Amino acid sequence: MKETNTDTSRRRFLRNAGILALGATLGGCVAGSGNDESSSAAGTGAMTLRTNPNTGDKVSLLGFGCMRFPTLGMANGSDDDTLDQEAINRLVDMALEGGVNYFDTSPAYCKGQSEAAIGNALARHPRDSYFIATKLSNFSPAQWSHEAGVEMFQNSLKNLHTDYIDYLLLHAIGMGGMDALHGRYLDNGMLDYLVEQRKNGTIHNLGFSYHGDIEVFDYLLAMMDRGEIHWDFVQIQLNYLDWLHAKEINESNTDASYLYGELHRRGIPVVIMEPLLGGRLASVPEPVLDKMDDLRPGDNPARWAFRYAGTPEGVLTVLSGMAYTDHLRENLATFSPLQPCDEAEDAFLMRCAREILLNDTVPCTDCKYCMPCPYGVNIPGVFAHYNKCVNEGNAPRDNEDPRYAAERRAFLFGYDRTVPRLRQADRCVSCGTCVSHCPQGINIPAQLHRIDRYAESLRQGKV
Amino acid sequence: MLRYLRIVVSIAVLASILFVFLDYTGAVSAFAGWLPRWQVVPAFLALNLIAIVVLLLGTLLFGRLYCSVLCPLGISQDFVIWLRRITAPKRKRRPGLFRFATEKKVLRYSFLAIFLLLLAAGFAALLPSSFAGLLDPYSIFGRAAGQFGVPLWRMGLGAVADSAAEHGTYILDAQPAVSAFIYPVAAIAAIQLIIVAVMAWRSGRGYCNTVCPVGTFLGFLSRFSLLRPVIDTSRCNGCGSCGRHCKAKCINTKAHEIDYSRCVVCFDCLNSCTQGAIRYTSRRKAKTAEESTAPAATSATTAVSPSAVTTATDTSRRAFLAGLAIAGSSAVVMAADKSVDGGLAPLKKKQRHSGVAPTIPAGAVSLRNLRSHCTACQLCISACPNGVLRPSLNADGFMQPVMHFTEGFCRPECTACADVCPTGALKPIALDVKAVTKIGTATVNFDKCISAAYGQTCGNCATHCPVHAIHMKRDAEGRVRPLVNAEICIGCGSCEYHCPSGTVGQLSSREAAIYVEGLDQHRII
Repeated sequence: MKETNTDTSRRRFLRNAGILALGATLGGCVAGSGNDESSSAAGTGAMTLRTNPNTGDKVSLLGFGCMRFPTLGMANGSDDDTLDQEAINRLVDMALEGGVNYFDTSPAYCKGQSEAAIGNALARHPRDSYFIATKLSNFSPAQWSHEAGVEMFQNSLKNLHTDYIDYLLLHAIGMGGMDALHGRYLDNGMLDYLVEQRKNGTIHNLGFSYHGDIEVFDYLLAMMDRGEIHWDFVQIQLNYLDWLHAKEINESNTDASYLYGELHRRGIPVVIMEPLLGGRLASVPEPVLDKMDDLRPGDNPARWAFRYAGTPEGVLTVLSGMAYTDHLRENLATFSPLQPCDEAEDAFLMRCAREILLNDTVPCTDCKYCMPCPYGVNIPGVFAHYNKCVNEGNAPRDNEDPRYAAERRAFLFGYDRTVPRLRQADRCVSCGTCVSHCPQGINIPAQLHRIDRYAESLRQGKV
Repeated sequence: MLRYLRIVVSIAVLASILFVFLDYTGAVSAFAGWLPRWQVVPAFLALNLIAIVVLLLGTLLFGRLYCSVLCPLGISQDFVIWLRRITAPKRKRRPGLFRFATEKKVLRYSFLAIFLLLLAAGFAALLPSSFAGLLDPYSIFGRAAGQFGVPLWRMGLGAVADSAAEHGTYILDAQPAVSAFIYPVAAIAAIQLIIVAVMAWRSGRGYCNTVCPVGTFLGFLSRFSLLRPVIDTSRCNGCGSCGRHCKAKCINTKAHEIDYSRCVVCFDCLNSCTQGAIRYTSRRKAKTAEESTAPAATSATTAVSPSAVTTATDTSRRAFLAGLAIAGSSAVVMAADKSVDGGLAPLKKKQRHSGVAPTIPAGAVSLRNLRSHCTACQLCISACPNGVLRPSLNADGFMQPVMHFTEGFCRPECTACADVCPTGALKPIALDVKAVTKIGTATVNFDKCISAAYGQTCGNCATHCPVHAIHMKRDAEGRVRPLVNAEICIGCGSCEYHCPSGTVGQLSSREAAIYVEGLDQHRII
């Protein structure tokens, strides 16, 4: 009970924060392409470059993420997950030719093969034609010793065939909370070691990538505020869903609007990861797709998402894992040059985000194992109606949409018609009887509460 | 000409008022919502000064035109009279169906006196003013529309919407439940409707001129009205046609006299006179014209229909059947609800706690205001989109609205009832004021709570409380119970509606474990 209350108030807080942050984005957008170099229509000009204020590096706004590389198995149809060096070479050549000059890898990626593979591919090109980003990925407590850390860093240099790293990141700080931060970097002197390496030129830019516990993020920035360290850049997850709705996607995440805001006001360049939210934003519900196509015919959802991620002026580069040449070609077109989102487009994407989040169907197969609900709820009936409305585009998320009234009618009238009021989602008391019966592992009470909140806001005309 | 104008206007007015009752979306009220407010009794109760002045001056100027074009019950009677006329055989119809009758003074003034006494009793808080409302023509119409028109309309609309939905078209929003149909009130509405209809069939506007206190009251004024139908004796040939066409039975053709206290200014006499001897004109002109008089030739129409009595029975039988049909179909709905099974836990029909203080809508301000102003026209009940309001059956507040939270709750974002009330029983209230007006207090009966009965944490009341006045607290015995912050609880009934006790479980109780105790004096929190 308590939990649900907190939930409601948090949502309210988020909504308010969202409104504030929306204002912030709009501001950001206007300032947008301030330091961009290149112009003309997408795909017809040169890659957009952003300037790193610390080093003056001219970094391509599209960065190459090396977490998902082609494998031999992909080429020959087996499950061989050895990386396909030749395919990688072709991708890298094509990327460099298209103006991409930022490659982001880690000793942990691709079962440890990524660093060597990208190193091999890049070694075929002049060292000053690209920037390498890699990480100190000492996740396992067995790697927490100073010696293991140093060894990992030295090994990266060797794998990458270089004597300096352009961008070195503390990898995924926040995961494991403050304890992991202390164990991995602070108590063992690894951070001091890396700072030392920056001083002697082995590292050009020192930063961190962040996931998870916000306390760690705030702590590292506070260190910088106290003058204990300088962060040359920070890598965060940013996309138009995470901007205001991070918590709704993953409880432990923090809104990108906050993360970006904190970094930007300190003048720290921001590297963006997950611009497509693990591919989720490449495929959006049909009504959203239609509206996107109405606004910019021919632009696919991925391009919208990339344009969104690349728009804020504090963004140094947007990482995309491109294991396929068509993805790479498509992305090169998007970023050559990037056309930043204007205010109206930004607001539009915020509406899309709400629609996407709420348009998630419930994977109920109507097996009825959960029934009977002791409180009389027609569980499969509620899910079936909700899914039907979502799939038919009758779950409106935007009360300014001209189709809103009709869609709202369809949802509410159909709801009462298919499920009697006393068997609707608002009768769920979270007793949990159903949960263990669901073969799909659906968190039934949570889903019912979500649908109830949605129906209630529709009744109030608030969505 | 005047008659046709009267007919057109009256049909438009009747249809508008009827749809003010039928249309729960508020679309019709937006342009016709003033009509109930301009009824004589509601206007006086609400002290709607503009309406009072216009109605009184209007009557002094034009006579009882109100009874012909504004009063929905009067227009409805004209409809019955019209039915009688078109069903009468031509030989009876043409000479005219009515005959002059003398004024039934004792009856008229007795009813007016009773009405005034009942009104006074209402103001003195001795009796709810719904008893006075038993004689108010608008409220009689309202009860019939609310008890029969609304359920029928919604059933019809529901059927249409259902079949549209089968084809994937949604023409309607979720509909309010038909919860306003309450047998005793429906019975009273039906009986009154039948009395009025039978009287109309048999004696034209007999009801208006013997029973209706508004008719009698306006009659005092219309005696002195400036404009009036006047018989020009110089032209009159004494055929008596006008008298036989006068549904108010107020034209004494032999004496060439018209009883202006009973004339409802329908202009039927003007049309019936072949000599053009009756004109709607000012008193003064008429006086001078009266000097020169002459008889003239005849031509006539109509007579009394013998089928009057039979057909009257017919109407009442029809109304009775309609009542049965409604009763029957609601029984079917309930039965269907209960028989739904196949993996669904059975649901009981929740009941409102007996003996709790009645909860009344936020616009009422106080129980006393509602009791003394509401004539039980049922307009608020028809307008409630949440299925919360229904007529009370308690003697104290009989037929006046009371809130039940078994099929819905009073949504803080809705002011439909206060928007439509014509009598000032529910005063207009702003949305933001309503959202913070405390009309009752949620009260916990923990013995019936799921938490006590099954040791299970429920908390549905707290989850759905729109003002977050409820939280769940673990007591010394480890049971989680709802705790109400009575200071911020507004009494909307969301908790009572969402409480699973009373609808599910093995407890014999049909009541919710949390319910609203109404306040007799509302306050803003």
